[in-house]
Amino acid sequence: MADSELSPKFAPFFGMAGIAAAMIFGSMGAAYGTAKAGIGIAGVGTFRPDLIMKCLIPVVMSGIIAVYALVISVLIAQDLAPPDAGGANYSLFNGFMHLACGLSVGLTGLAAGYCIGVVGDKGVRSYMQQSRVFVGMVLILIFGEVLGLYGLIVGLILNTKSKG
Amino acid sequence: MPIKHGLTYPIRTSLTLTTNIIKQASPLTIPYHHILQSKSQRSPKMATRRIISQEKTLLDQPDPNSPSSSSPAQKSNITPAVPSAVIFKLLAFTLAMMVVPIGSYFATVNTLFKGNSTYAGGLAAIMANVVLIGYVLVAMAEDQSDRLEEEKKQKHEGKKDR
Repeated sequence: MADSELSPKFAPFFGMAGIAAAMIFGSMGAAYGTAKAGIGIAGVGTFRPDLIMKCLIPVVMSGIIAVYALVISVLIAQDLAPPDAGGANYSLFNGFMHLACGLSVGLTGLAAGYCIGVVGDKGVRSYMQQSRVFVGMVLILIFGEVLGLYGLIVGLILNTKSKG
Repeated sequence: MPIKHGLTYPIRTSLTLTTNIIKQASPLTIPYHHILQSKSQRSPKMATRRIISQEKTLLDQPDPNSPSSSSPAQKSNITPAVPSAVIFKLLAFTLAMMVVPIGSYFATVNTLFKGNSTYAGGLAAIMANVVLIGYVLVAMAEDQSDRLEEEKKQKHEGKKDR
């Protein structure tokens, strides 16, 4: 049973790679978004300190990207187990599926974080000069962050296939 | 300001005075220097000389450790630039962002959803967005309350600097 054709010994590697990919790429996106938006906030804060509270929105959104990666990592990690505790039946299908979960969440998180960073930087600088930009900036940020949410939805749907 | 040196004598004053003397190339000895300075305040002839000597050197900067810098005349404004209510709000949202999504996942995965971790994961994502929406609403309310307060203040006291 342990080393069958459907569940070879190296199958957990792909599941672990999925967890790592989700966290690494998701955190890269979140870090870029936080840092780039933080540069913009630091530029705005020297001129209009009263706007900092509203300008922190891209930073909060970048944090959500990391939360998505965390959620999918926890989900995948729950399906993994050491070989003694029933992990010997971990199939190659599950491994690839978990890799797909992790990559979809991680790389969409990277894309969303990049988008949030660029939009956040330019958006808060424009908001300093024209307050009507705010609604548009928040909408663009939401559409950018939804990219990461799509990746999470795909990851969650994929994750249900391991049960059946 | 060097004018104050005639009144207060912190230890660094003698250093400051010697630098002033070197600048002015004055033969005066140290104890009389402050008298000259207080005189030169009154006499317009010495005004240009005083300005030169008032050029701030590194030693003339107010010493943050000396007690004379906390005199009531130049008492520094130490009230925080950000009111504490805002800081508590930010801390609360930081804590919520860390605790609420993953906490709701673990709270519901075995109780509400009977081990279906997909729904619990979805709930965690939703809770993260709820925190975000709450933050946006609080930020908007913050901005509006600031503006209302400012308008009220302007109505009360007339024009006042922000």
